[in-house]
Formats: sequence, structure tokens, C-alpha cells
Amino acid sequence: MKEIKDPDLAALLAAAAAPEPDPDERGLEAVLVAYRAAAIEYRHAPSAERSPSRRPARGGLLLKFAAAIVLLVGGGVAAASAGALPDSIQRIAHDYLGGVGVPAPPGASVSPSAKASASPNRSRTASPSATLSAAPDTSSSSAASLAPSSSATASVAPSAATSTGSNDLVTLCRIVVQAGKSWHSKVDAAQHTTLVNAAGGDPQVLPYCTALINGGPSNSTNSTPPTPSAAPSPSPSKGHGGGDGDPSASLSNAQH
Amino acid sequence: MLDATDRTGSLDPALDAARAGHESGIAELWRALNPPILRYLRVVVGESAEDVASETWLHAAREIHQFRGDAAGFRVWLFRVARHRALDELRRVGRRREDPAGLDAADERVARDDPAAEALERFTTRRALGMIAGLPPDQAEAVMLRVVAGMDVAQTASVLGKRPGAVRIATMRGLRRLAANLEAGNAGAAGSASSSARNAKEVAE
Repeated sequence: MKEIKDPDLAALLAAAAAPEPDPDERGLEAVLVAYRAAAIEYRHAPSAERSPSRRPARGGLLLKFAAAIVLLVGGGVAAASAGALPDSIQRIAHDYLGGVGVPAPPGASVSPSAKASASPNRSRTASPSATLSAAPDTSSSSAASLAPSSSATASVAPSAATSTGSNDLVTLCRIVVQAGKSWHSKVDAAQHTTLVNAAGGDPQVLPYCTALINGGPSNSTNSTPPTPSAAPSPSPSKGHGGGDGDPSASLSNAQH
Repeated sequence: MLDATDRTGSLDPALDAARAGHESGIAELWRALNPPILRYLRVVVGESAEDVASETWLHAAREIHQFRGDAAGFRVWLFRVARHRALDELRRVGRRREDPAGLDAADERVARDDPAAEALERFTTRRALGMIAGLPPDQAEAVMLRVVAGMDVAQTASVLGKRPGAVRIATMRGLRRLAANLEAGNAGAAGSASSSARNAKEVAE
């Protein structure tokens, strides 16, 4: 970002980003209480069920799972439609995705109308609940109608994904997130293409993967995130922090 | 201005500490990230910002043990949580985003002893946020995340669930409109409108 030369606009933005004059830490205590409670639960949870904090929010977890699958499939479709997948995977993708946006590898038969019938984004917009409740439909004839194919797509995706081994988006994303900014050195060219296609660009790969791995609210669906009611044994101390303009710390960490 | 990843890079040890169970870690994250979260929320939900920020952090406190990624990724994740809670809140109260409640009050304290003091003599933080909140919502959010929270285009796009190109455009339009509004406010103090528009474009790139 370049310097802003217009003095008025620069002054306005500087004021918007200026450090808080009177940091106060009243909100911090409630956060620490919640953190302590979660830490205790997390440590004592049996390893098989290491998500105690999510227990009150099963619906939320389910939603995240669904959102991850939708993302995964969206990415898979994007990768496949870009021709980025090896032949065998391309065929699997073609079979399971019912031909939606996925050109068949040479030798496979495909109805031409199915190929052009949907954009990759369509599967992303499938609502998670529809996604989970629909029965898998692996027959390629489902490609003709869009709605069924997008749900079939999502519910079958995990098997397609696991069979793709190291090209599985989630696995790839784990590698990326673990490597952080140096993720480029951890993936080969084909994997890089898969990631870039899924994320929508090279710079988006890291944030995309972080979002995919950590779940949370999904931007690509209109699903509502887990509600606050799933929350806190420690109450959020409403109205703490007083009026505007006096949260703690300065912005300087974020600004300079 | 430094690259956004440099700014959050210094929080990597704090994130590691928080994941390892050290309270000092999450306290440091809170001190560094709550102010920009609050400002962003103030523009999106106005006077509910404090409550939404609390909910956001309680969620983060419960989930941070399992968070995978670096501090820059954590910040993006945190803003995503904040944004979705904020949109829920707006739905709950049935209020539109372009109603920046609570941002017009005049009795704001002015920061002392900081480099931005000169700017603050002309704009209080609250007035500046009020002007940004007056933009169309997508532009206001893009300006807040890019300029105030200091995120790069990719991070902002991830928070907003948009394409990077859309983020660039929204930021540019937002800054242009701010510049135009400023000029309109400076009736008589002529001459800066065209340069403001040009500068807006530079910032958005």
C-alpha cells in the first residue's frame, strides 16, 4: 500500500487507526476465565473426543463438517475442471461428481450436456443441511439435474478425497498450514495447482487452508455460525468495558 | 507501512503460548487484537461492538487450543468469527448496517503523546469511524480491514468471503467516497478532490 498524499483522507485514516488513549482491561478477565475452563476440559478430555468445547454445539460442529466438505468439493471441482488432477483421480472425480464441471479423462464416456451444466461454484452454494441429508447418488445420470448432483457430490466427496492420497485438499492444507509462509517448498507442482485452484489464487492459499482446517464460519455458504447460546459457562459480562474508546492496548502492534 | 504478516508475525510466540496452555499468551493476543476487532465491529454493529467482541473472544478462548496455523491466520480467523457474530447480531436486532449508532458523540478523549496526534486534532477516532461507517457496508468493511486492521488483500478477502479483485475495488471506492465526502465537508477549502481520488486508487492497489 502506498502513502496517501491527500492530507484530509490521510488524517481521517490515521485517526481511525490511532492507538486507544486509555487502554482498559476489563474485558480480559472474562476471556481468561473461559480460556481456563477450556484448557482444563481440553486436558482432561479423552483423546478420542478432544473437542470438549464443541460438545455444547453439536449442530455447530456438524455445520463445520458440512462446510468443510462443501469447500473441499468446491475445490475438487475447481481443480478437476482445470484439468489439474491425474487421470485416475480425474476419472474418480468424474464418476462421483456426475460430470458436473469435470471433463472426463480420455477414454471415459461422458454425455456432453452434463459437462457444461454447472459451474464449480454451484456446489459451494449448496446448503450444508441439504448436503448431509441427501443420499449419495453415484450414477452419472444425476448430472442432468443440478440440485441432486450437488448434494450427491458433497456426500460422496470424502471417499473420493481419501482415495486421492496426498492430493486430498485437507491433507494438502494441513501441510500448508503447518509450513506457514514457506508452504511452497512443501508441495509439488501438481499439488500447488490443486491448492491454487481451490483457493482462487496463490496468495489466498494460506488463509484458505487455515480456514478449511479450522472450520469456523464458512463464508462460501450462507450458513449461520454456531450461535452464542452454545456458549459460555462463564457469562460474557455484558456491558463490560464501559463506553466507546477505552479498550485496552494500543493499536501500535497492528499498525507499525 | 509494514507488511501485514510482519505485524502479526510478532504474535506467533503468543499464539504458541496460548495453545500450550499459558494464559499470558491469550492475554497478549487479546491486548494486540481486541482494539482492531473493536473498531471494526464499531463500524459494522455500532454500539453492540463491545458485546460482539466479547462473544468473539469467548469463542476464541474455547477454540484456541485446537487452532492450527500462525498468528496471521489466527487474526483472519478471529475477524471471520467477529464478522459472523456481528451479522447475526444485526439480524437479531433487525438493524441495517448503515446505521452507525453511537459514533457521533462529541465527547471523545484525544490521544496524547503519539505520532497521530496531529491527525487527531482534525479528526477524532470516533468521527473518523463514523465517516467510514457511513460508507456502503462492503466498502466500509474493506476499508476497515485493509487500512485500520492492516490486513493484506488476501487476508481481507478471506475474512469477507470475497475475491481479491472485489476487495480491491471495494477499498478503492470506499476511499474515493471518503475523499469526496471530506471535500464536500470542506466547502470552500478547494482543490483536494481530484488528488484524493487519485490517492484512493493508490491505496487500494
